[in-house]
Amino acid sequence: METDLKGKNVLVTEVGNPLGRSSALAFAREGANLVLGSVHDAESLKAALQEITALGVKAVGAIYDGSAENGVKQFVQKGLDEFGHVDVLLNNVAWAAAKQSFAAMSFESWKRVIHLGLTGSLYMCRAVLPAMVERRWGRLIQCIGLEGFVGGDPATSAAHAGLIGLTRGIASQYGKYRITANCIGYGGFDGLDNFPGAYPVSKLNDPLARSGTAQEVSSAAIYLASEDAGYITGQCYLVNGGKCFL
Amino acid sequence: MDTGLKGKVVLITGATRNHGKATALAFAAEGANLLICTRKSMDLLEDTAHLAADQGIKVLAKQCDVTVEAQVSDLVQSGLDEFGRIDVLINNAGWRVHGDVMKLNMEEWQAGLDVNVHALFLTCKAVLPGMAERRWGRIINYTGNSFMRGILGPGTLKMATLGFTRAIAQEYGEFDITANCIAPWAITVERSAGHVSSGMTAVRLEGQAIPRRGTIAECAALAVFLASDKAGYITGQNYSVNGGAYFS
Repeated sequence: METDLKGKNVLVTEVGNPLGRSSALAFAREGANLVLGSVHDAESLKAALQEITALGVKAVGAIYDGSAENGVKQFVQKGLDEFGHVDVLLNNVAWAAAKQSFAAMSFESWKRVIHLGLTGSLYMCRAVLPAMVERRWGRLIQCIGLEGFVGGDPATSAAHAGLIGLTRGIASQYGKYRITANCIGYGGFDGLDNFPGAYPVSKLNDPLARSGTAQEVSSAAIYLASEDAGYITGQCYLVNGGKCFL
Repeated sequence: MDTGLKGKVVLITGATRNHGKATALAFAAEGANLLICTRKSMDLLEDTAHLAADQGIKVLAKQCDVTVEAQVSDLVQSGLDEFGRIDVLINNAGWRVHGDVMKLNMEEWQAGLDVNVHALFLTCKAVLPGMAERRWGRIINYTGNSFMRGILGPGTLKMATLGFTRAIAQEYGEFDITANCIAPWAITVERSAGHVSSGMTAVRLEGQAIPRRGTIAECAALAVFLASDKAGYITGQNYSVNGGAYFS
């Protein structure tokens, strides 16, 4: 399939998590240049940069402060300085705290997850949108968990569901600039959503009876970023083995 | 229909007018006692309290900023001191954030998060332990159709409300506590001066299955049903009261 991603510039957040890393590599294999970030994981960032440049595309990366709008702007500016524009945002929502039950969660911990996950993602969208508007083309993709549909850590449930609302709002406001905004809802991945206090995955339907792979999520991201997906906006595509149906 | 609400205790935030007031009066008509609050409009809240008390129920009306942890604890404690328990929590207080994503005022955004999202954490934190102990409870949060319509500010904050509601539904179902959302759309309400609603201006009644505006009483009736004993198997849902403007 021709994705038309060759030479496009793609910003991927949280390369420290498996979905971020895998997506960055998938975009690189399509010939896209990468702007990579993490809020804390310098080691994963370095490793991802090496892997990606080895594929023959250009890449820059930075550790940034995702909790402050200026920190996010400076990070995006680094990408703009290097490549001139950013065409695609793949926002892997950062995990700000250990996932917990409501009964165990403090207000401070709750606020931190909401701030980094929801407001931090809003900062990211605001940082990349102006250059997309200027070029009349853009793709915003938020990679979120299933908690907002099926329950789980309440702060993650709220922040990730909120991102669906944000995505639909941006889709409505920026469609006229040929910018699409969508979510990918992942679920049923080993090490990603199996944590103490998680919604019991075992209680959900499991038509495919297996865990998903990071590649299966990044393939969906590649498709949503491609030219052919230009009429898809405001949606949340689930990549979850059928563990829940919308 | 016997709702089983007689003698139950219902906490409603933001009960000065519109949905909060209508909900308070609807529960009063069922014989439920009320704990109601407002951030600053005590005179309006007293009006609601008097009207509700006319139904022969007990009402405690308090001033409370639901975004402040200590004030929410005090509010709930005063309700427990008065009534011994809280059975139903209705999060109605809201704050509207509007505009283009690039032009959002971040202080307004924070205020929206505080009232629409953080306040829910605080009120739930304060009432859920007692509900779990008594193995019965109802959490009802007001949302709207904004996230179905792609209205950015309210859509984001109310979708966060829905996600949170489902987490509570999942975690507390084993205690026979349900958590649901009511999603009004195209309802006739009063707005404060200067508070325009982009949602309302976008309403096109002629395309709607029931081509008229709805009433706050029609939303309050759903709150009463969801709080009733009859609705014990409904949880994690977002029920629209929208004249069929949007099917989901």
